Amino acid sequence: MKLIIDNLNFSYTEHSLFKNFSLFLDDDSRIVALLGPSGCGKTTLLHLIAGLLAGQIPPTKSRFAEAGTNKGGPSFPMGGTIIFESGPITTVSYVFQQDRLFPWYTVYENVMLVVQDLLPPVEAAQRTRRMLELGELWEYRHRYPRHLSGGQRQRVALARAFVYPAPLILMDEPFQSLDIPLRIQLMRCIQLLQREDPRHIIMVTHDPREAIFLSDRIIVLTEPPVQVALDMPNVLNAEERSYQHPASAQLEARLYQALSELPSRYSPF
Amino acid sequence: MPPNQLGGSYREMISTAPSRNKRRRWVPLWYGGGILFIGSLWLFAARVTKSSLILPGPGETVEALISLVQHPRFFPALGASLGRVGLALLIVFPLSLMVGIPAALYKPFGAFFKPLFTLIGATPVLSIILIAFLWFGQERTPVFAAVLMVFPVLTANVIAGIQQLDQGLKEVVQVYRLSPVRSFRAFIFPSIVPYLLGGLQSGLSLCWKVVVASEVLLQPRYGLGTGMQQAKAMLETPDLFAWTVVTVALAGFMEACLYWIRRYETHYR
Repeated sequence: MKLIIDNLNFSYTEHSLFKNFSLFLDDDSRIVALLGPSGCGKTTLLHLIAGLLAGQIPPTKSRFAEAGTNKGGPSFPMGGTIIFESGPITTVSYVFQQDRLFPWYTVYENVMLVVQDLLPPVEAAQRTRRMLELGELWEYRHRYPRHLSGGQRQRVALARAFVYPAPLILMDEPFQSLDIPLRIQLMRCIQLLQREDPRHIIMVTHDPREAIFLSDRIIVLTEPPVQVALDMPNVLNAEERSYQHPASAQLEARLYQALSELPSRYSPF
Repeated sequence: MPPNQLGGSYREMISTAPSRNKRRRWVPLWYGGGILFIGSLWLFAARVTKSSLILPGPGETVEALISLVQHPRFFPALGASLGRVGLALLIVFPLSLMVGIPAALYKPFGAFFKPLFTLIGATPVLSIILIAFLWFGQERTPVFAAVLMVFPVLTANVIAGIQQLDQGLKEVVQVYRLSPVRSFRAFIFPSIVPYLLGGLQSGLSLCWKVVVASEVLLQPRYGLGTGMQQAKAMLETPDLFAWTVVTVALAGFMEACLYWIRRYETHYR
C-alpha cells in the first residue's frame, strides 16, 4: 500500500491549515503515529484522506477501484493530491474519538452492518464473530451500546474498523476519553487484531506515550500551516515500549522536546 | 454550565431520588381521583338538570350503551370508523415519509411544499369535508379529510427528525460506504422513528376527530358519527352520549396501543 500526499493545500478560513504539505507512507511502517498539538489539523488531515469533508468527491464511486487501475484518491478543490494505491479495495476504515455506534443496533449488528452488503453472508458472519472474539466482545454481542462501558464501546468501534476489509485504518485519538489502564488494554486489543489481520494504520494522537507504544513510525506535525517537524522510525521492541521502560521514557522526552520546540503561539510547553 | 445548574442536577441525583419515587407511587391514585371527580361532577349536574334530554346521567348513558351494543348496526359502525382511521393512517404514513425526507434534505423541495401546508393548516376542517364530499362522496371523504389534516403534522415531524440526524453517525455511513437503501434502514429510519411516533400521537387524536366530524356531516352508511347524528335527530340524548363514550374509548384504546409501541421502541435506551 502506498499513500502519497503531495502539495496539499487546504483551509477553512483565510488562514491556511495546509500549505504545500506533503507526506509519503508505504509498506515499511504499518502503524504511523501523527503527533501534534491540539487543533493543528490532524483530524482534518484524516478527514481529507477519508474524503469526508464537504465538497470532496469520494475516492471512487464504487467501493472497488476499476480493474487494472487500483488507484483512487479524493479530489481537492484547493489544490494538491492524495493518491492512495492499494489492493482492489480503495476505501478506509475510521475509528473516531467517540465510539459512534448505532444505539438501536446490538454489538453484533453494529459490527456486521459494515460488511453485510459487502461480503457473502457466511463470510461476513464469520469475520464478525472472529473480530468480536478478538475484542473479547462475543459474550456481549446481544447487548445494546447503552449497556456497555466506555472501553467496551470503543472496542466495538475497533472491531467494526477491522471487520471492514479496508487496507488502511484511520484512528482519531481513539483512546481520548479513557483512563490509562483502559488505553493500554485497548492498544493491546489493536495489536491483537493487527496480528490476526494486518492493516496500515494512521493514528492521530497528542500523547507521545501512545505513539511509542503502538507505532512503527512517528511523525510530529507543526502548528498551521502544518509541516512535518520530526519524522522518525520507532525502533523500540515490544518490551521497551511499555509505559515504565527507560527506553520509552527517553524517547518520550525526545518527542516532548520536539513538540515544545514548535514555533507556536498556543503550545503549552 | 452555570454553577447553580450543576448543583441542581447533582442534588437531584442524590437527595430527591427516593422522595421522587414516593411521589410517583401516588400518581395512579391522583389519576383515579381525577376520574372520580369528573364522574361526580357529571352525576351532580345530571341531578340538577333532572332531564335526560339535556344531560343524561352516567346511569342512563350506561343503559343506552348496553342497548346500543346489542343493536345490529353497532359493530358495523364501530368497524367502519376504526377502518377509516386505520386506512387514513396507512395512507398518511408513507406519504409523509415520501414528502418529509426529501423536503428536509433539499431546500427547494421543502419550499415547494410549504404553501400547501400553509393552505391546509389555514382551511377550516369543515370546509375541507364539505368540498371533498363533492369529489369523493360520503364513504371516502372521511378518510381523505383525515389524511389531509394529519399529513402536515406528521410531515413536520419527519422533517424535524431528519434535521436532527446525528452528524457523527452520518460520517460512519459515509466512511463505510453504506448503500442508500442500507443507510435508510440502518440510519435514517431508526433516527426518525421517535419523531414519527410523536407525530402519530398528536395525529391520531386529530384523525379520530376529523373522521367522526365528517361522518356526522356526511352520514355514510355505517359510522360512529352517523350514529351520533341519528341519535341527535331523534332527540335521544342518552344514545348520543353513548356513541360519544364509544368514540372516546376507541381513541383511548388506540392511544394506549401507541404508548406500548413507544415503550417497545425505546428498549435500547
